[in-house]
Amino acid sequence: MDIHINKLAFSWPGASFELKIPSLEVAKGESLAIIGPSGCGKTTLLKLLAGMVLADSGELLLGELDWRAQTETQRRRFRQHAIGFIYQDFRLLDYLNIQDNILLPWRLTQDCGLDHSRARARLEALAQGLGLTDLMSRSLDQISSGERQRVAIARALLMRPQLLLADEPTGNLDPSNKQRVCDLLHDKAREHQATLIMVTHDQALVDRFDHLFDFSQQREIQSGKEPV
Amino acid sequence: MKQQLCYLVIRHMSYHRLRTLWLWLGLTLTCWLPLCVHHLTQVFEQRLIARAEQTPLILGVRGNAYDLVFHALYFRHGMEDRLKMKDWAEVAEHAGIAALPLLHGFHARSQPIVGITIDYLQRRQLRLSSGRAFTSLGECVLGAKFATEQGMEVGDSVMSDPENVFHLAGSYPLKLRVVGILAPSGSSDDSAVFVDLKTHWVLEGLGHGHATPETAEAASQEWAISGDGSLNATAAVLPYLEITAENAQDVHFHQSTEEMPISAVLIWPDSDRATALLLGAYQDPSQVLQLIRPMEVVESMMGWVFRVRTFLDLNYLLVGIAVISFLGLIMLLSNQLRGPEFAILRDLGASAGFLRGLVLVEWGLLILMALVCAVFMTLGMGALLRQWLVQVL
Repeated sequence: MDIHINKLAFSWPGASFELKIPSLEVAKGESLAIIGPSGCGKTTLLKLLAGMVLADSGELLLGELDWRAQTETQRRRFRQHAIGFIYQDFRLLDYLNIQDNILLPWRLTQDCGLDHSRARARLEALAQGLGLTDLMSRSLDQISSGERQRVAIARALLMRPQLLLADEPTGNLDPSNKQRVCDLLHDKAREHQATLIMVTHDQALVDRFDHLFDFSQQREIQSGKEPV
Repeated sequence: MKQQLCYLVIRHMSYHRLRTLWLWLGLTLTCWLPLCVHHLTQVFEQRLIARAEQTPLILGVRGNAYDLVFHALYFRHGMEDRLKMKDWAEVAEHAGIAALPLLHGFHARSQPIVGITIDYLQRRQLRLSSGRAFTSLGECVLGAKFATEQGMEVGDSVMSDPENVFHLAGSYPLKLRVVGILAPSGSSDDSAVFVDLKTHWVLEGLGHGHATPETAEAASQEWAISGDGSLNATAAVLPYLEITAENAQDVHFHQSTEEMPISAVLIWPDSDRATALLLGAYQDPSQVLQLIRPMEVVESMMGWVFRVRTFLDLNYLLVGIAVISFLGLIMLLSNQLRGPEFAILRDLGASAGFLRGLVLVEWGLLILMALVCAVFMTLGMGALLRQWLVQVL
């Protein structure tokens, strides 16, 4: 999914801070790392990209789609089908086991054309790819942080999104797991031909990304890698 | 989508099973209390009315109508003032009337001994499960519950309770032979010991048998020859404590049958006309006797029961409002606690309707489970207390 941002501006009601992005382009299948100090608007940008909040002005297009032209229901449906979101704090439900947490987007998506057997087949493939096969019936308190992050990644990939948004997915992980999760995200995004946008504080992880957007400089810095 | 919603609700409830159990118990008790009171008063009313319906009229000595109904129908309350057999004969002479005398004033193992004629069993449609009906003095037929609880069978015997152990000149306990046991009827008949009226008169001391002078010669202290040469019995001559085939002919009564006491007359008129005529005959308030319709007395009493129930209903309504307020608060706090969960679901694409559905289905399930459980508990309690209600009556 191509992403096009031009003179985007957003501010939370009652807040003095205003997010401004002059220009940003990411082509389908490419990856973008977003870095910057805390509170600069990295997560807000992800929410703007996911259509969870709408820009005050400027242009934000996901392919041909302009969020502001959509109704709330249309935005919700598009998000369910086309966008996968991975959070720093995983945001898994404690009353569901691993398998049910991964299947949750499928349970919440109406008319996705995916019956139970196909959903299970996807679940098994993802579990195998992410090394979760033996954990399927376990509860959240029976697995480690690294495993939880992999569950969150599996959940985000279940509906085969065209856009994968990751908000500091390695923030709670030890260094060895950080690199592992980052590699995993790249591999899975490539496998599903999804555009990957990841917020991170970790400079060591940005080398693998096609683009780098630094909030402190308010501009896109080319990472030097060739586009995928 | 509904299936997915229900799946998530069930997963949530089973994960938070202690909280679910707590709420379910609270809701169950809230539903059960008023349901149970309603059901039990209904059973109580049915029992009372059924018995009263089966007996259109009762004749007794003027006084408290409730006492008379409870005495004649449920064998409760002793009647101090008695009718005579001639009162029964007078009623029975009316055209289109079936009248049965009844006498109750003694107990065996704390249960009522009821003096009747054999027609009573037929009129109440009481069937013998074993043995036969009483045919002679000293025989009795036991109600099903009495026989079961006391472990008695045909051929056993039961002593009447002494009414006052310090009253030496009073009536003596009598050993009654069990000749039959009734099948359960679900009424106060189940707890009674039925005897012939004459046997009851013997219990009252109005008839008795004792050793004759010929057989007491050996025990000369029991008889004394007075100065004029006549033979006098002393207090040492005891009446028989059991009436057997051998001594039955010695039992005698010191009054004519028509002067013998009864405590009530149960009356079954065969038409409204017969009822009206009979009621007319006893409507004078200066008369010693009163003729009452048990249904009217029971309905009047049920009026009191319903007034108490209305008060209880009001009480339960207030308690219910308080409980619902607390449940509302619990629901509100629970939703606040579930805020992060709902945020996750919303971010994953759940609609506001879906989230509302989660809450409503969970509470709906809880309330449904509570209602079902309350209904079963009420029915169970009703079944358990049915026998107790029979005893109360």
